[in-house]
Amino acid sequence: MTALLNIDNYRLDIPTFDGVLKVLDGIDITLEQGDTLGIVGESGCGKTVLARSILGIGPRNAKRVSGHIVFDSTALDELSEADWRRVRGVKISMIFQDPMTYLNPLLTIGRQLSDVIAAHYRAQGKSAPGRAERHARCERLLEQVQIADTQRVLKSYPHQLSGGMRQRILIAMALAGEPKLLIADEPTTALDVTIQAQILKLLRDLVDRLGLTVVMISHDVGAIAALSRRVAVMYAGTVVEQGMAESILTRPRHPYTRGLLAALPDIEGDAQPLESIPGTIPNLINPPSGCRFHPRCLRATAICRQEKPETRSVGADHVVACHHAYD
Amino acid sequence: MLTFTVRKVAVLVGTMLGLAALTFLITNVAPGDPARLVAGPDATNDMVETIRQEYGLNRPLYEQFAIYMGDLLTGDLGRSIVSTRPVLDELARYVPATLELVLVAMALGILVGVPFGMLSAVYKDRFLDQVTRIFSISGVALPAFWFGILLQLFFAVRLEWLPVSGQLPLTELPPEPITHLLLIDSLLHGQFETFRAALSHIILPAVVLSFPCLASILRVNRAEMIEVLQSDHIVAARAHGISSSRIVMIYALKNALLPTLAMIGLRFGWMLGSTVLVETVFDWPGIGLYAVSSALASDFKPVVGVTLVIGFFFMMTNTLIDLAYAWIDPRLRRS
Amino acid sequence: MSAEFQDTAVHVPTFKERHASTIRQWRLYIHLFRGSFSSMLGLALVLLFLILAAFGPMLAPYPEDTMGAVKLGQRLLPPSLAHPFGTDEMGADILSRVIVGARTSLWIGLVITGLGAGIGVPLGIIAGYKGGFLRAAIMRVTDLFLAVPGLALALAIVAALGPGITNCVIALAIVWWPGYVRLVEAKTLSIKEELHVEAARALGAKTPWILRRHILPNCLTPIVVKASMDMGMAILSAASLGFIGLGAKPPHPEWGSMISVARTYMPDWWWYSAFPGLAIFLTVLGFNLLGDGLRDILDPRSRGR
Repeated sequence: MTALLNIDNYRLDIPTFDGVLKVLDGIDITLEQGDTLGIVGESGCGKTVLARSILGIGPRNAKRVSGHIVFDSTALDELSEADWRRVRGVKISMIFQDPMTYLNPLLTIGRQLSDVIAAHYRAQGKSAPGRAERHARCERLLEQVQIADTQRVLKSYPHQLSGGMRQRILIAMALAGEPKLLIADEPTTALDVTIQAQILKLLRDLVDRLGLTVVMISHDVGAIAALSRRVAVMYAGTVVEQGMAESILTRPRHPYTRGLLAALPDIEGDAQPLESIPGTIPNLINPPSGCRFHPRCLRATAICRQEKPETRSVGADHVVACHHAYD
Repeated sequence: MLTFTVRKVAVLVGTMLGLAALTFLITNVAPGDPARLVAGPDATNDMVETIRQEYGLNRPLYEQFAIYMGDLLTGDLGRSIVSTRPVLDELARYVPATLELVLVAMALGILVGVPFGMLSAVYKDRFLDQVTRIFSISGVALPAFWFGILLQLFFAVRLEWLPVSGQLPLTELPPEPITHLLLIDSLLHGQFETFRAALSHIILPAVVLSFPCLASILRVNRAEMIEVLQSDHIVAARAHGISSSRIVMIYALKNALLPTLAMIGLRFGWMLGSTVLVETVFDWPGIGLYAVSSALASDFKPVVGVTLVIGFFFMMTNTLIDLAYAWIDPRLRRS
Repeated sequence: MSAEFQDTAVHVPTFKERHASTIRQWRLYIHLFRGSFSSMLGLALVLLFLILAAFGPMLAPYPEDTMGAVKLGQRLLPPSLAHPFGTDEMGADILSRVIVGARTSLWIGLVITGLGAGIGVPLGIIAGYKGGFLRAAIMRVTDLFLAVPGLALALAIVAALGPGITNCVIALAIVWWPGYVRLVEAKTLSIKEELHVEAARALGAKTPWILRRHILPNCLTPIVVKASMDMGMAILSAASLGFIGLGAKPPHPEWGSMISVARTYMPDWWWYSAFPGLAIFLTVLGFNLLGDGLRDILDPRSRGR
């Protein structure tokens, strides 16, 4: 089965006043249809830049140095604006972290939703449906994300609704074009814990019901674990470990993944001192040579400083990029 | 929305009253004899005394204030020394000309400033943008009177395309007043020659008057559009596949419109103030020229009248803009 | 056993290191400023203006003309090598008068802006910080003054006080101070809520200290930007009043009133109006560009452009 999404050795640079940020350094990610992939990593590891680059809405002055992103046999790097309109929202959709700032504060929800619907029609060369039809579709979309009071919500402005409601609306907007792939960039980070659970459950339902393929990006390992079947761990612009969630979360092989999981406070059991990974994330203008994690790694040796580790398979659907992976 | 409107109108009324009080203050706090101020520099001492009695300027200050406010509320703005006619009548005569000029200038400013600001933002840093940036910054620095004189020199004298001054050539009769605005009246009467003449007369002063306004609107619109275009919800709209033109024209513009509106309000005020300059240069028979000639003749009452009228128009425009603000941005309706 | 004290290599940070972040910030400012053509142009124009203002009489080719001359043999000569800007109706060299006019304009601009800020800034800080009735009172009065557009109000005040350059300046200062109140009050309100002020209060700092050390420095940036742009606009406004005839009386070399006289000699002797007006334009442009450039570098929010 050919992969739905294939990111192949993707390198991205962003020029800044202080120098060139080597934000993504050879990302390899594969995703099959119907899969759920969680990309986990600390702030600054490049996961949001990656997500946005997939949809072509990354930083304006970013430069692709090498590599490709291929979706459903279409190379996404060479698309024109007109082509993108047929992809965005229609084939690939995205939901964002803070629904307050990602919704236009001056337009009603109904207006924003129906604009998205109309845009999809136009992108496919068909004329936009009439008001009644659009209204009906809006209602169906809201029902799909389990919003009950559709009439009231459609007439409301974003600031009049709760955070959880706004996130559902963003999801509804993302689903308007019936996309195959949904990218969720920190969808739960800005929400209260109880609402987080609701949204994750909703996403789970959508995956089961609609056969949606989801890429979820988060620094919250718990959220990733709740939704994703497969996981990719990112550090400083590289993928250090990728594979089945169960495998990675129970038996992490990469020192960074180990440190990340060990740092999670354990609510069960006796109170123990919190473990943390020594050091800080590296400067991306002058990243560490060889393996980018080596300055903070307890298992680092000379080769880690000299050579960037190759990605090796360590089990069924479990790969690691490390010279001294755990067994 | 209704309570919001009512509240704004109440503020307007309050401000006008305060303004009246302010003009009273200016008249009386200024050094020099208020009676002499009203009587004019050529008045004899006897005349000054008569004025003093007549206007009750020998009464205690608070009584004078009450009389003053009472007069204002009944529309008595005093008399002009130069023409001896009531100030109110003369204002009524001169306001339409200024109104027409300001409206045309404002229209110019918005109709050119907003689209070019938008285009400048979309084509940021390209040639169009550089040109408009230089234009918009010099536009505000340009002294209106100097610009007017230069335009007169160039277009009226050198090229003889346009008339030098005035509202209508002496040979034309103004149309029967309906709205008192020459351009509209001549159209309503079907007098196209008059319309053409009036138009050719209004072009230069309107361009001069609109210039700083245009420049500011362009700047603010461009800046706001640039900022909005980088905001999160625009990113989301793009991610949802909404077309760039739609994003720019509707989504971004609506968000950028607010500060642009505020700038329009601000600039309108400056424009009202600049009418004194432009009307002087072009001999435009409006309240600006009236104020200047009165001030130069030390005829004080008309100056106060003009100040009140200008203040009123400015305040009213600001109130309208506040209402427009609340209409566009629903988040503001609560305040 | 004796304790051994080695010469511990305690690293005493050098001046450069202690102030590294500030130095870097200033380097960034200068870099950004230098990179902006318009800002550099503004700086150049303002420097030119200041030089002319400072050394005017020494630079003027005919210094005896500056307060008006009676050289009727040289009336209204067009621009030439001897008189690059031509001569006026009394025969005085216009270039000299324009150069010396810079000093007048500088004085006008400084006094208006200085008075305006001097009154407006303290009032604004008090209004923003104290709140309550004091704030309401100050802001009501400020709003009142802002109800009439500047030039019109100044006209009324000058009409009451009588024409003359001093009255002009007073009138314009009165028109200018409310702007500073508004600006500073808003900034003070937002700074007041910030954590470092709360922390200072929690540590027992007294109000004057807080005002001086926390609020005022944070207000400085918008005040500096506004002041530099105001210099230009104040000069323009004073020149406008001069043009109407309410400003400096001839033969005082003020650019606006020069044009007001020059108008009667239009269009044949156009240079008389053109050059003083050019001087006004370039000066105001310079201050506007400079203020704009300062705002771009000092306000990080607008730097995204």
